[in-house]
Amino acid sequence: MRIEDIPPSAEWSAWAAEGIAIDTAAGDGAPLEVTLGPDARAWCAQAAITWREPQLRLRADRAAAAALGALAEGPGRLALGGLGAVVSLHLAPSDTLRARPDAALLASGGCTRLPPPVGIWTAGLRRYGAGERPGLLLLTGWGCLFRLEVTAGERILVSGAGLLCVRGAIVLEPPEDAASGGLVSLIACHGEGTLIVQSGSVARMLPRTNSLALP
Amino acid sequence: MAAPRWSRAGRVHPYAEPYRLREHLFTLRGSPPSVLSVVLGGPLPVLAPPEALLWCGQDLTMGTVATPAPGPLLALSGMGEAAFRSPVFGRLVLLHLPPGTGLLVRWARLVCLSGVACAPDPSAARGARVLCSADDGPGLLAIGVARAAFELELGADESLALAEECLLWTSEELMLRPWGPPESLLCCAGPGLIALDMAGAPAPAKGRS
Repeated sequence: MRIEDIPPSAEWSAWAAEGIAIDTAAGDGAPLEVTLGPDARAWCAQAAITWREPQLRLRADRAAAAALGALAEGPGRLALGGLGAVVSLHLAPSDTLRARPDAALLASGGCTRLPPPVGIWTAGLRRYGAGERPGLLLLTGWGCLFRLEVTAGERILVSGAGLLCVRGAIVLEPPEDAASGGLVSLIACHGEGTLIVQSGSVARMLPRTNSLALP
Repeated sequence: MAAPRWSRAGRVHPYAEPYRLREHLFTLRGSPPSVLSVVLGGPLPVLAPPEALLWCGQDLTMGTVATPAPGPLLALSGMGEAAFRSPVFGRLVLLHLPPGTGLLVRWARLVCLSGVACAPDPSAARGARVLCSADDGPGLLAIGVARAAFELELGADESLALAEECLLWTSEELMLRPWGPPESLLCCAGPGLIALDMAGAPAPAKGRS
């Protein structure tokens, strides 16, 4: 297992190709400002929108990715508030990942929500994937985010509250509590891939004051 | 009245690099440091409240250890890696206990310990503390804090009123007792050392008894 801290300022350059600029200069806890170019569009978590410019179109969308909330169409700016740490994930064509239902903030490119698999235990995670074109997904977690690279033959036990996202050929198994005398419920993860773990929990989430910046 | 002698907790290790305690390697991760990852290299157990365990390798042996209060601790041992975090507080600090020393630590703040034995608070005072002592060699404690740990040395004739939830740890000789209404206030009487988490707490009133 290889552990890597995910730095607060992640790599945002891939979003530029979609005509989307993400400004994190205000720092942790401040609204994340997103600027959409004239032809840019992104699905976003509607509940997280702090403010938006009037010219930015926001409409309901019944597409698969509509689980995120609404479709934002540029040009214009919006701000997503109440955030913890954020991580930007790039999905190659036909790539998939699984994430907590409350973690997805913004999706663009070919990223769509996929139907749940049949007969496979998912630990309550939702599936997202890119079709024929690459996609981008912005996730939020609480506390600090860590990337765990799991190699074939390894088996990692992860707290259910800490598991934010799973990528690659990771298989999840329901918790087995026997070893700890029933004290803890840990999700067993094995296979080759990546886990993203959050150190915080919603239980300690503090209300944040979101600023409103008008042009 | 003497001026308070607040200082950054002298017992807190400013470890930016991994820290080796006997056969284990401890690394504080995150910014601010919020996760303690441990590479276990032997049979000395690493103990933690069950809710503090974030991840671990399945090669580790997992068991439980009875404690004075309020519940058992998870015990991990063997060869492998594990990580812990406070489910309530956003930062961790590490305390090194030299052999033969002990601290009374507020249970709710305890995230991880190794080379340390837990016993009931001998003074049976309020504050839900346990006596953590390193009897057979050096020990390590990881404590959850909201902001930072500050220490205050109290003289023999000095006392302090404080909000119970701010208390992190005290030295063994420091006396604690309830201090009238409101119920959440504690009175600490010196001599001894007390460490507080100052986030969100009013400045304590200090006087001579």
